[in-house]
Amino acid sequence: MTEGREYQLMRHPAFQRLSTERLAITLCLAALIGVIYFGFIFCAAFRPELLGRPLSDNTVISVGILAGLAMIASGVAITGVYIVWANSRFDRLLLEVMDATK
Amino acid sequence: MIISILKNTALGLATALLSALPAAAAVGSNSSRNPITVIFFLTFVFVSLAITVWAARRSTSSTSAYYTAGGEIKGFQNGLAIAGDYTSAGTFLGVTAMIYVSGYDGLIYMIGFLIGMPMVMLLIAEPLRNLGRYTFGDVVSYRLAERPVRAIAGLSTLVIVIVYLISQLVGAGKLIELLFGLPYVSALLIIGGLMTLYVGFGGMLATTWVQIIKAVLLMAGTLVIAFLVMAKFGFSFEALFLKAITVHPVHKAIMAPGSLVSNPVSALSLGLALILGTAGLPHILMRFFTVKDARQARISIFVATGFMAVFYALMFLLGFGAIAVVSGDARFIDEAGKVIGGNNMMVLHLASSLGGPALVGFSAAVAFATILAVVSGVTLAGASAVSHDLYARVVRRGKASEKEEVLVSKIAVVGISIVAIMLSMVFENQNITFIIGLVFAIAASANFPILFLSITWGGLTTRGAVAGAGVGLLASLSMVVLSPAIWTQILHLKGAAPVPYDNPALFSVPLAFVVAWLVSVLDGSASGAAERAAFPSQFVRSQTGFHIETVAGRN
Repeated sequence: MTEGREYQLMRHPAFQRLSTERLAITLCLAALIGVIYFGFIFCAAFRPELLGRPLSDNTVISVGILAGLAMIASGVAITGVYIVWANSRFDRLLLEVMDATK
Repeated sequence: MIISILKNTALGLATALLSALPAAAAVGSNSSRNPITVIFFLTFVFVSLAITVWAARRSTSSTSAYYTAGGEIKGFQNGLAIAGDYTSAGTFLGVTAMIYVSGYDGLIYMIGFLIGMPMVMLLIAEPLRNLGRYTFGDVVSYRLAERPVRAIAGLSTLVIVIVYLISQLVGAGKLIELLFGLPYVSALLIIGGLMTLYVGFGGMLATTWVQIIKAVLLMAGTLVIAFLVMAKFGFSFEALFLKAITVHPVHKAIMAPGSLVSNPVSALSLGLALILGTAGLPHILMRFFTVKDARQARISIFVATGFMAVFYALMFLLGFGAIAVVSGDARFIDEAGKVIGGNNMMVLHLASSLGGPALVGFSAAVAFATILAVVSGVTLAGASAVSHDLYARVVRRGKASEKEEVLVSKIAVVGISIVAIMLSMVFENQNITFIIGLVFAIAASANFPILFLSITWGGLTTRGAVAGAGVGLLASLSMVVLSPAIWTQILHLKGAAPVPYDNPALFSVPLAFVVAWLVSVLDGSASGAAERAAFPSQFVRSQTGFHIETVAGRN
């Protein structure tokens, strides 16, 4: 853990590309969650009747119930997308950079 | 010595509970007071104390072993433990109660709880693991002046921990009161005593395993009840919801957002608190230090999110099942027309109606295990803030020995339990899920902004961090005190509450960010400049973790 190693890494183009890529991915996914979630909250706050509407004429189950389940599923899906990317691509490229700057 | 203390406590507890049995039986023939509960409960207590003994033998005298189980917890195990930490009694008891009372509104809380998890993963988890050792104060003070930053981080952690403990202890007290016929106060003392033993003797290792066992039990209990609900309605969702709509006083309105969000500002505020608050909860943040690297940290979150998704989806069924099955059943209503034991006991009434005494016994033991596990995790987080941040670093300026630090931590465990128990007597009748909403708001206002900024923004200085966290903490706390929930319902003050919103996050979170930013930008001090200059190096470390023992993905 020498000071030099950090600066070497910092200036390494592959490391810079990798951290930019990570930033882009995490921000996109976080924004996606934000949009989905606050879309839901705004709907609950300003147009609750939309969520209360039945899914179809022959059911009492409302759009809101399905939306709720979809929110939960989207949380898992987004976590899944990130972990697949991070475990395969990010970790591999990071190791390459780390080895290159040893 | 430890072993004998634990043994004596277990025996004492068993005697106390068993002797309470005849008294409980005499109170009434309510099926929820039954020996099966006691047996399940004692089994859990026995197993968890055995784990504590095992963990205590593996030495908890080094800080690393005590705070983080030496960083040796596997990602999958930690994922279950996070889920355990997170699915508190507030969800199992409180959300069911909330859905029972107001239908759809209860779901909004749950969805927010879940959505907080991916946010932790994307914004915080990996840099947190790469930069910290024991507390999130480690991370924030990485390049900032240690003493002021740790002082404020430790303080806000303590506040969050105490309020969170209140929410859990209120649930626990009510539960024991109902099940064993023990007075509320004795119930609080039993829980407080047990959590002090787990945390004080077993440290993070015992806390983690108690948490894992509890997560599995909770899932099992929820699955069984959900299955029985569906079985009762011929596995037709349509039939279940139709019955719920028919019997609930507001009928169709339970299928849509209602009173909880009648005020859009409250809804947005709650939403913000839930989505960002998780990333500021000290006991959740602490869990990331128990795994060895960033890769294991992200695996933990994925496991935790998956687990919670299934659990919360089942909670939909439990909540609406409670409306459909329990409503109008005279066995669960007292003379005044109120639910016996309060609405928070709804899930037990549901279990009683569907599966009789055996299922109530099991569910009650699960709820109990849940509370015990969560209070243990939360208490450990509070105690480490006291010993690691406040004592070892702020007071003793890093000169305390590990042994001394761990000892202070154990003393803090006792102190925190006492304070939390006393406050729980004041807040006896609040809905526990509502209090948890407030915890999230404080966490999102006081901890999250400076943690997030310290990781991502090089411009943050010590002054900015302290100002941001201080304002976030003060603003969220004072807005809560001035809100209807405290002003009117707890303090019984005359007139309308000065702040009309129940949840402060919509105002206090942006305020904390703006203050932290503004003070940092205006900070012209030399130390501020040095702190900014140290960011690139911190950034590389936060991304790679190369300075800690291992690098992600390599063994």
